[in-house]
Amino acid sequence: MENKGLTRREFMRLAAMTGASAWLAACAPAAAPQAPAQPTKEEAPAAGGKEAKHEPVTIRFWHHWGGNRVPLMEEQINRFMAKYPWIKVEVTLQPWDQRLEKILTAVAANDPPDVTMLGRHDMPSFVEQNALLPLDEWMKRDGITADLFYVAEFKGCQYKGKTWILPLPTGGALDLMWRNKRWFRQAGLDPEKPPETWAELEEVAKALTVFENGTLKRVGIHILRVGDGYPFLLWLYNNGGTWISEDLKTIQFNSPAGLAALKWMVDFTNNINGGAEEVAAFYSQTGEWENGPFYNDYEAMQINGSWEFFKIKGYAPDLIPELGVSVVPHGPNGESHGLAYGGWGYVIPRGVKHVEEAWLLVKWLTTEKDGACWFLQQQKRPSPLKYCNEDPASGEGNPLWKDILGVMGQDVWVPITPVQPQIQQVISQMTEEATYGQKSPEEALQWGAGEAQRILDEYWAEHA
Amino acid sequence: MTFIATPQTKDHVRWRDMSAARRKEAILGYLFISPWLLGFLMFVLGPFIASFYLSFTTYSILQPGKWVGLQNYTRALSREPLFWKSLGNTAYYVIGAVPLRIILGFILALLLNVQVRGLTLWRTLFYVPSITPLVATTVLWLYLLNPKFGLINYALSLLHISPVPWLTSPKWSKPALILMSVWWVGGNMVIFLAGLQGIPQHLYEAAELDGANALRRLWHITIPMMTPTIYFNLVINIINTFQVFVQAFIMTDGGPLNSTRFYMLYLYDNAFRFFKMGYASALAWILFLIILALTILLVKTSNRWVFYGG
Repeated sequence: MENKGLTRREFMRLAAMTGASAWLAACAPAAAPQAPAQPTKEEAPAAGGKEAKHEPVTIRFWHHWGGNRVPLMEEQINRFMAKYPWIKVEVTLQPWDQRLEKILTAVAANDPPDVTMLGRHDMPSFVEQNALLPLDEWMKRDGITADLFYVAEFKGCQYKGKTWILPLPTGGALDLMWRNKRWFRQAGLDPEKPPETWAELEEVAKALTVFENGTLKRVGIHILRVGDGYPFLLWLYNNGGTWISEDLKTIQFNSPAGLAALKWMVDFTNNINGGAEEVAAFYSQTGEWENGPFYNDYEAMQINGSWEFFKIKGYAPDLIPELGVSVVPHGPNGESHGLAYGGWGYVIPRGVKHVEEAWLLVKWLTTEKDGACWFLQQQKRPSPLKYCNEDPASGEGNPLWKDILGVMGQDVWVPITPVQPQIQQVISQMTEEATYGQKSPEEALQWGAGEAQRILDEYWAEHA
Repeated sequence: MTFIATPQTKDHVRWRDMSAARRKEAILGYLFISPWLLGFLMFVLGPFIASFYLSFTTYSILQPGKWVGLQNYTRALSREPLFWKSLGNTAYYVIGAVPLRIILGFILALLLNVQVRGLTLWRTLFYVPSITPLVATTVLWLYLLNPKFGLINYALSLLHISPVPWLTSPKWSKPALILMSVWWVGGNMVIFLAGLQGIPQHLYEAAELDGANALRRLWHITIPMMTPTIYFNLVINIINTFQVFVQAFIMTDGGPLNSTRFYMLYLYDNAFRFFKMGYASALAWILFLIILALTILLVKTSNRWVFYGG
């Protein structure tokens, strides 16, 4: 063989090694500085930080308040910048669908937004990934205490003894039962007497559901479409069941209460609403904003959150005098209550540069009258802050205020695990398999509980 | 500045043995490809090798995780029913979409190889859909496939066929996506057209002289001469179709009942929603091996049916 020189093969080998070593060098150590052993002294608040010289600072803020809430958020941020003139806030409305992935990649790239909105169901997994800063020191310095908030709201902000997120809006008031009194009257039902039990709900729904030529024309109520997105959990808790033990280690929904709830969901959907496929096809005509189903007469009742009032005010204001709100009906073994499951809040990701300013923004967005309280007052929605709901200005303009607060007062807090995204997928799959008839409710429940327990067991085995 | 256009010899010359001009030529060559090369190293080869390493760990993007050897691979193959379901869904989609696109692309190319007026316009019209942005197209198809007011069900109703639940039914969701995949037939069509241009005319003339009609010419000349192109399209389409993702991600998020949970969507969930990037890397490598195996199978059996005419 003659002299080879820089052959293709050698060149490729050299390139591969360069590329690989560059990548491994980039990937591995980037994770190391986020190891929990780091002391938090650079994150501890300076005593009396406000008097320090204020160099202009720009912070980034991500949120999901879309639709007709965008101008409210803008106003809220403008007020913040007026109060703290050295802080400039760059606001980005993040689309719903990839919110988690975006935050994840931003934190991994060491370039997170200074403040971001985060779901409380995602908070434990983010804490386990060491992606958030604890807020307790800041709260102590500035006098923000737990009793500013409703108990169920604040409970969802804590994990492993620390506070990682401050709430806004409510985790509760997600499962209000809204009714359109006009359809009640038309069907010969008393509009002031909403159903209180599952049996009563079935009677009312039968009268309100309208079919035309064998397909749905108007749904009485779609019990699989609820404010928090997980109908099984809502109906489980309203039948006296719980989903997991307090220590977050044992699945508890494979119980008689759970089975009865799932069976009821299947039977209701099949016997009253024409079956899961029919309902899904029906709802494909509707949307999230202008063509929302409830205020466009696709349904006579809905189970949805307190945010609906502001949407109805914007998109169908004539409906307001015909609205009624009550708590969801309970099953034979339970009492009526909505769930405080998840909800939202604001967090400071680990690795941000301007922690003091980020905290000031979080404080503004979650506790201050002109910020947090004003933002929800404009939407006539209840706040997680007690003083805000007690302010008469909050309820003004919302004829259903007392009812909404009354329902929210009965909400029950639902615990969240660090593997919640995966468990939620299991619960959704289980519900779908039962309601589409692919499995019997017993089989589906058995599978769901088994799978969820397996996921939990694996997780706790690794993180004992 | 002149370049010495030396005819390329088979022997590689060592750097130090090259003349200055030859060396300059070589440097310029590397400079020209350096943008692509850098991009390739940073965004393709680098992550490729890194993901191989990470597939043996419990990397979660935010935490480096720990080494677990082959555990991610064995878990996928033995402890995760959703792995098999997603693979099955993907295989169903591939078996439906690939032959459809190839056959349709071939037919379109035959039709568009005839000298008619406005031929360029027709070719453009059929090709343009395949270069429209993927996400925008997907949203468009969400409306086309809507069971209540979509155009497809409307067209069916004109033929007195009752509306099909398309994406809201576990039975029809994959057929709906297979139907949708026809949107991208233009790419195949263009390659087939190029192949058709390469068939020597004298073969057709000889056949006509022998009395062959159009159908026989198609079967005995066109198709055999096109087998290399068909082979190429088959391999490329299979590689791409196994990686179907955007449609399921935007239109159905795997539903209903996981009927559209394709392999890449399952991988995405694990990587970005469940903090299991190590496991997802293993999944990526498993898919790579599957596609590689299929490609090798196609290559090995190609000499039985692919005819490279002189």
